[in-house]
Amino acid sequence: MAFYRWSGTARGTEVFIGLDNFRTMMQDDIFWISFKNSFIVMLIVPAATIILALFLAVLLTRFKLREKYVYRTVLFFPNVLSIVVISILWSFIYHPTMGILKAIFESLGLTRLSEIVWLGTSETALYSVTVTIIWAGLGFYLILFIAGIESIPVQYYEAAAIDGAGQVRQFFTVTLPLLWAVLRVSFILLISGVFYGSFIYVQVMTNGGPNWSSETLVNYLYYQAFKNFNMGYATAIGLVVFLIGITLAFISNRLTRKDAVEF
Amino acid sequence: MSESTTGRILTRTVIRAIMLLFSATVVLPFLWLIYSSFKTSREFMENPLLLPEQLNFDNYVHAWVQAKMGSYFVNSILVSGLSLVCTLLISITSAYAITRFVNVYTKLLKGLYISTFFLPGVVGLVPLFLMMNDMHLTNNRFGIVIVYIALNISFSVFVLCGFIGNIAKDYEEAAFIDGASRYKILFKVIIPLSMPAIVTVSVFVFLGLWNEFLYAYTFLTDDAIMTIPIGLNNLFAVQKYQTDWGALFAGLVMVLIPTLLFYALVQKHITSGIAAGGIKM
Repeated sequence: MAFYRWSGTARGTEVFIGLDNFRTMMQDDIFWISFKNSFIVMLIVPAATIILALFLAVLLTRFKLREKYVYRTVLFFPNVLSIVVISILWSFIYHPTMGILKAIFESLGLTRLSEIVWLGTSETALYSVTVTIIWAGLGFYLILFIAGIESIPVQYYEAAAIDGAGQVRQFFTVTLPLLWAVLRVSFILLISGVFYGSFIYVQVMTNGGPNWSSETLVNYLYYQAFKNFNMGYATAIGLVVFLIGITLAFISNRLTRKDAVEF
Repeated sequence: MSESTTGRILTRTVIRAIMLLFSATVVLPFLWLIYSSFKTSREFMENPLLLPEQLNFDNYVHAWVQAKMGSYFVNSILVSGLSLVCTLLISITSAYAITRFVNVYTKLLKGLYISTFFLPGVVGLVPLFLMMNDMHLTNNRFGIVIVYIALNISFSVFVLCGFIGNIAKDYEEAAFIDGASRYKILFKVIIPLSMPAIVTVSVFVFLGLWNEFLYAYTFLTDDAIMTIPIGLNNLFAVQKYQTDWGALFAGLVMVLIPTLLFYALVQKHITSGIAAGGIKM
């Protein structure tokens, strides 16, 4: 179907146009904007989520806080919520007149920051959505990493401490290598999850706007299929999306194939 | 010695402060949402951080009646409930068959189930939509139930296969000698023994269904059969022009509270499920 021009209304109206859909795609500015945006989100979200979740997991496990399960439960809560609820809630946090972000910046006296229309400015819209995605996914990886760190035998840390390694050194010589397998799986999960999952956040929070500045590939696919009724073109984009997804999973699998340490 | 204990207390205080900061980013928006839902439209125009002057339940009445949150709730319960029951029925029986009768066909079946695991839904959305449209199953509650069942079988079968495969065959053989039929063994032996796995699968499948957006957004366009996520999104789009923010906030709280209760009930299953298998929501 990627080789047809068709509105999807009635069977028999489709026209075979060969590779024309792909040719249009190459010259389509909006396609390239969404292409770039998809990659920006895929770079920021996995890196930030893993670093933050790992940092918090290490703090919670290595310093033996008694109430760590409370924090874990609280931080995981966004994961059980509907993404629509999260997106609407964050739309109001960012809201230019009644948002709490504006109110907080105002009470701190940061007038320049409080005047930014976070979701309505081309420069900030995509990054504002990115922050929401990180916020929503953090708890899941926190649980994963806490479980991973707790399964590392305590003796290794004790041995490292006797040899004079501080907490930072222990993290790089014990935690990081032994947690590598978990980190690798998380990275692959995040890459593909964000690539396809950012759709709902963008759809509800900005609808790709303003002026396509926060459109991602999946949103553009959806727009072409169900707003523009250009089913053939949408399927062609879908094919590209699928190929990118497969390639990314393959590359991230290869890049992180460092021998996992057995223990 | 006392120097190191004060140092330790200091680091712990710093860590507590960091953790409290992160927890606050989760807790505060929800608190703000809940107390703002009692505000009048006039109060919404004032400082957003202020508390409402009095508890005003009008917003909830508006959300339930005018904004049709009530009917969205009924739709969501019908669709998620029916899909969950059918998914469990199909996946328990097929997981049992796949693990106990190992031959070419069941291996092929297992391979098929697992291969759909790696196919992201968005890519198949357009063809699926056209197919469902040809069968007149778009904008239809049963249509979306069929889609949901198909989407969730692979995950459930995958998890259940792993669990049922670990149940010792001795139980079944004992039941077999006592004259039990295959179905009796399934319902009296296998299902009770695999209850922990079934509960975990149900929790994850139900949460996924309850919050599902993409397919419902594509397939359900009629206001009367929308599920909660779509209804909320619809309400959000409408309120951009009507600016009855109170009703929207009340609607969000109505969705939030059951989820919060559900989370409090099954929190253990979720965290242990993720920790054990790295289950992706």
